[in-house]
Amino acid sequence: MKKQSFFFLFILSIFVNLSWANTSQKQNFQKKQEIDLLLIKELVLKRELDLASKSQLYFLLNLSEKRLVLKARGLTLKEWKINRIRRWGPPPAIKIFTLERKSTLFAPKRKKIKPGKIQSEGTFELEALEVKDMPKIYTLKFNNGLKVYVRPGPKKIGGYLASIGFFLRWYGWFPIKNLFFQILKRPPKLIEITLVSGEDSKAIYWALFEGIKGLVFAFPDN
Amino acid sequence: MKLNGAERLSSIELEIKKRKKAKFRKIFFKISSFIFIIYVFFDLIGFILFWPGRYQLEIKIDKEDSFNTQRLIREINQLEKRLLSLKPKGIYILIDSASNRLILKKGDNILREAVVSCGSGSILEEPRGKRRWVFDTPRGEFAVKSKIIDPDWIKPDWAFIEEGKEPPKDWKERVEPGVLGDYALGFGNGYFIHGTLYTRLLGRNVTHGCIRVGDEDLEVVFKNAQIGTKIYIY
Repeated sequence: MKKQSFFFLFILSIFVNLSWANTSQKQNFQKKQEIDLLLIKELVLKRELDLASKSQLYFLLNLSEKRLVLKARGLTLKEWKINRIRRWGPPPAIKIFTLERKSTLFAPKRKKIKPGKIQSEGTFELEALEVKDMPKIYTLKFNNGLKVYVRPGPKKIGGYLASIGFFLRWYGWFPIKNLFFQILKRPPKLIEITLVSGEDSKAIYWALFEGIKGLVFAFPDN
Repeated sequence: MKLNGAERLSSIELEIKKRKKAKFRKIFFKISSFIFIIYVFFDLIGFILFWPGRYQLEIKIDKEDSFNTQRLIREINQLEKRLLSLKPKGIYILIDSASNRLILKKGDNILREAVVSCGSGSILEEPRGKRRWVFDTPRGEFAVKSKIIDPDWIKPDWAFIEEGKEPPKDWKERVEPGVLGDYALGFGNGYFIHGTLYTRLLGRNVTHGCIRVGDEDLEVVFKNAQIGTKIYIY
């Protein structure tokens, strides 16, 4: 009887210990998450303050809240919701990025005015470059090697077929490419954002001009 | 059925060709399978290595008690306040060059929303010269620098070149009254928010960089905006 009760107590103590360790580990993890969140928040605000204190437009790409915001002086000018975000590697460092180049298959071309050939204002639209002329699928190339692939979500059969291609590129080609660049000591920084509509995609292409500065960040998951 | 010598020879040749083809197919299949396996192997390594991670913040859990969370929260609040203080005070103008909209705002309240026309983004090159103009509406933060009632347009060189004419030397020949509407608000580098004769083109990108506004909207904007009023064009 004594032996049995001793054994029972021993098992119970193990359980108690384990559950206590688990709870304390959970608490530690939560505390770390909380501190991480605060630190990132502080860093993002500091960087945003740097951007907002200058007379310029800037953007914030919040990967956690899935939104892209165009701002000036802390004022939100425009905001786009992002449908889905995919990324390889850790989130980009919280520092100011500059958009160096917008790359697309069919870049919109500016129309040339022929001197002396005055058009009536009614036909002027033919010579204008408007938001509807912007591409839907493109890559934003930032300094420090960050690349953001932008595309709208599929709506028609062509879009779904293209999605298969994008899927294969993302999971079939990019891991190999990443590995190659890692060997070359240029760690990859790739993000793919899928937008709700093609109009949003065009509007972002219009709004983010080459040379614009901004932040790309993610908060720790809960 | 018996085959003669020539027929037997050709059938043997055919058999050899068939075997060669089969062998080639086999080797091809083996090589492509090998390449595919290697590809998948490295793809998986890449997949595992670059799986989306988290920020690697260097905080040690054992030091968490000494880490002052309250101080951090206070700092965040202060930063948020500083960011808020940068926002424009009073009335300001927002111009969306993509959707050709002007919004007159005071704080978060919209005082007026108007359909406007922004830059066409077209290019004009001087025929025998080296000058080139891009008719974009500039983007960024600006301020109202001048307010003019009944403005006259002082035609710049590009306006003459566009018409296929030589720019005149006498500035008086450049003055064209009545094309800029009743009011104009200058925001630097020759750019203005002004009226238009072509109201049916409002909402389209057709200008040479200025912002054309309908008469009624322009009057409201002109009366509310003061010298120094901030303009945000995006």
